[in-house]
Amino acid sequence: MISPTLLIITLSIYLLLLLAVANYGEKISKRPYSFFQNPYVYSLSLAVYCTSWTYYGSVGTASNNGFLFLTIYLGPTIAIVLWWEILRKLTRLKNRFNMTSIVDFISVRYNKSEGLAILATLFVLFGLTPYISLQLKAIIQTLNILSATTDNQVKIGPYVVLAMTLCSVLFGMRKLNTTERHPGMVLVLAVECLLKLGAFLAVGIFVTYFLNHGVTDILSKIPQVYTGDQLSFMGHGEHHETLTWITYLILGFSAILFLPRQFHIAVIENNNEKHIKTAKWVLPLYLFLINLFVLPIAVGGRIAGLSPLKADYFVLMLAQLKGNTFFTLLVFLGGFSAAAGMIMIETVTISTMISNNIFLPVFNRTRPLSFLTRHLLKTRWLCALMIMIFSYIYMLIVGDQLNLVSIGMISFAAVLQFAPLIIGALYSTKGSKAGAYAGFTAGAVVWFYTLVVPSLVASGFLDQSIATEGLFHFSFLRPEALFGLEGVSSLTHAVFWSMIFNISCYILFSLLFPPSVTEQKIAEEFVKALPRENNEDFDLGPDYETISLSHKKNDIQELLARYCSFEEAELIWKTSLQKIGIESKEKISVLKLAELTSEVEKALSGFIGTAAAHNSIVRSQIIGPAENESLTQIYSGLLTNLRINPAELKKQIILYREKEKLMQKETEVLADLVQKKAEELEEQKNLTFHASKMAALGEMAAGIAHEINNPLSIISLNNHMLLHQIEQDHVDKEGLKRFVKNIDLTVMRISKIITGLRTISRDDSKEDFAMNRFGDILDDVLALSGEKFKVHGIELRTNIDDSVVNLQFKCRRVQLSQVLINLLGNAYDSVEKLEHPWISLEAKINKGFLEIRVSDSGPGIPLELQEKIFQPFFTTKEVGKGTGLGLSLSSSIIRAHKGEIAIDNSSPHTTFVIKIPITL
Amino acid sequence: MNKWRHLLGKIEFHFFLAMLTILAFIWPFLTTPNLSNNLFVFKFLYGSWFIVIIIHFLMDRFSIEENETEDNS
Repeated sequence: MISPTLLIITLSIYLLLLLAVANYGEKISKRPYSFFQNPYVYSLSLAVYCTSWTYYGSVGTASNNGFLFLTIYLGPTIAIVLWWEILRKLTRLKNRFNMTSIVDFISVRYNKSEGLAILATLFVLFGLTPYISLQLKAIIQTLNILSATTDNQVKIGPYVVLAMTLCSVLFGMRKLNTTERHPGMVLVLAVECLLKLGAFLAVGIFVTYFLNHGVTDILSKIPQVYTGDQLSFMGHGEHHETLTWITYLILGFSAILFLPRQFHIAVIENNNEKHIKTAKWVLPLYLFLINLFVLPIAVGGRIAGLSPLKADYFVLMLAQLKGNTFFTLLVFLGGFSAAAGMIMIETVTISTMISNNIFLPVFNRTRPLSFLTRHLLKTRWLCALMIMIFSYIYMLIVGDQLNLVSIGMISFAAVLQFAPLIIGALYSTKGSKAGAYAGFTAGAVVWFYTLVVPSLVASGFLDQSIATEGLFHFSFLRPEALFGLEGVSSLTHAVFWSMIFNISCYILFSLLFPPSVTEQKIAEEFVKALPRENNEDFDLGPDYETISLSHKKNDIQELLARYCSFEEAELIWKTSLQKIGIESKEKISVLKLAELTSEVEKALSGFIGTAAAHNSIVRSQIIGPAENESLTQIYSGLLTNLRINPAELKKQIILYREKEKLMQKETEVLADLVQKKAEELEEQKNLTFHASKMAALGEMAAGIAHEINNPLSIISLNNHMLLHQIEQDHVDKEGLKRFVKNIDLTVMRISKIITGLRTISRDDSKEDFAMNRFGDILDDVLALSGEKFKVHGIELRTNIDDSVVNLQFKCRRVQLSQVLINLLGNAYDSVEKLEHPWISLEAKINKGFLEIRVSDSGPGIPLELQEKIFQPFFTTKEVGKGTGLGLSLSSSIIRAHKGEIAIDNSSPHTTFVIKIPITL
Repeated sequence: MNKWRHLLGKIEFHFFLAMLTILAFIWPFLTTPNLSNNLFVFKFLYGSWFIVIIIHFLMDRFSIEENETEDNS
């Protein structure tokens, strides 16, 4: 038992911390490259799907129904496979139409219908009340368990309701423009998701590995705690298990897409399409991890002797077995986070829907209430309180009769009623407003009758006879055996009939009452949301610019002022003008006016929802009757000028789109070809580089031969002297020693030359950069070039400190040696015929760069040639002597080292300067 | 990579993967003799689930899905 004071203090500290996180989130989101751009925050916030139902309820289901709990997470995993197609389409449509909720989405697609928005909002309110009540129940019950009281439900309930309302307001309803995302709330949800996962895993590990000996051990104990058909965890009971399994999968599938809070986080809060890709594996991984220990905990609870009736709270009760207050509080906070996160986001979304789609139309149509349009935010706060009270009442009536999962499934079945409308909207242009009305209403009524009515009967709120004898005593109207369908679970039964009615009515009424021309246009935009189209700017020219922008500004600002502050209205006005590109104009054409109105409508829908915004714009008559008339004339005129009828125009558009698709395919083929060619060129470049290196080595071959020949002569001479002394039988020990030493030194010299040759002929262009000593590079270079200079009487001046010689830095040794050999080779070519020739090699460290200077006694390179010498195949040497690739390749090698190579024009002689960063 | 994209586009990869996932998740029902073996079902469901996650992870890391023009705000 934990004292109530400690519980209150813990909860208060936790909520304050979350508030700080929310504030931090809001603040930091304005910075570029903040966490808001991080796909993991988005992905984790989506895990708000896992509520107290998951945290506590899954164990309850697992304890009584085996693996069935998994379907609630396997269903979403199937849906997530299709996210890249569906979710991306939804986010693009959200951006295009400035939608604020799932109800907005339905309303926009079906001809911006206000009636449909009201219907869907009311349905969401009733459909999701059980789900919110489930969360309240979990919070209240866990508080009761921890404080070891049983009759506190009524006492602490109202405080929990108030606290949750306050949290919803603080975390998600502090400002009005719901199109602006809620980065603070998203960050809070991500943090809460991490906490609940951590706490759940901690309990899982404790139960599996401390109270028992692993998963296999727990599962092997099933026969000790279960009997009869319960031994098979795949399912037991009276109903057809496969159908129940599939029903749960379908409900999980639709819930992850169509639950209002999931829609809000996944679509409305999405600010980057690429985040969907990450969410596609992060979210299933999260679901996988949080479900890993559900079964062990469920069986572990039974093994520990806990009552199966309390299975929903095994997680907390098992944590209490550890006897550690901190651990128990951590597990409690995990469960609290699961419930509170869901309550916050669900309340925010439903409040927005109610205020936009129900209250606002009433305020607009009722003159005495019209002043309330300025107090929309407060209206939303009131809605949040109403939702919470409504859920609490539902909990008091029904909560004790059903377990957590049964309550949640009622809401999941409700959300499924959106599926035909939304899938129809995304993939068909034939669905109409009438079809949406009919399908949705029929589905909702059947859902209510087959699922909610039985739950009300079970709680004693309705008469038992409805369930046993059917409505009006018609047995075929029994809510759990509609039209005589029996032998399946009540959930499968409800899902089957509600979907049959919903889909049939949607199709039938859409065929009977097809979409209007306007609706058809919207439908096409929805279906073709993915390939982005380029809308070219079109206007009629200055002669048609007759509408005064200042007059329209007054009309528009007057309209906007009803719903937002003056500053916000001014901002919307300016942004809209900028988007259309008419900010500097005084008069505009009627076409631009239509565009302007459309932009303002989009912005306004962020405040009051799409349907309400559309109606406000229509009623305000920003486009007057005369302007409407001329707009119609212009469109007709355009068609006439094009000498084309609407049907032909449509054909042409389709034809051009087909062409565009074809061109896109061709582009892909071309891109492939270009890629191949680029790879071939790269390969060719490497070969050329190698060939050039070999050519340079070839040029040096004579020098190298000479270089090896000289020492060989020395060895031969010394050998000869040795032989002579032996033959004369006059061995001078000191002389002998000297000859052998000379031979040894000379062999070492040859060995050094050969090592340099082997190093330089190796291809390291594909190797990674490695730490190398600059002295080693110098040894390679001087071993190959030094002798040549000596033989031809060229003085080699080196001025390099020991610190530079011993410098270690990241580079490709062979490539750098190649560059220096190239430069020294060029220097040799230019000075070999001069009098008193010299070549200088200097190196120093300068501001984090290794600076190497190669100079010679030559007169320098003429300015007009300096631009060309780094170009491939450019050479000033006589034919057959140079490849023209040396400097070009040297330049690309130095660039690969993030350095630069240049000619120092301030020097009176030819001087090349190389700079390479030593901290690469 | 383009070849892969082309191939995946042809066989409606997402649809195919969804079908495979569904099959994996209802498979235990199709293998009735194993229903009583809880450990087998546990390993099968979690194993196939994990494979699906790995596939998504690889798709994200190697950009297997089409990289269409974004429409972000």
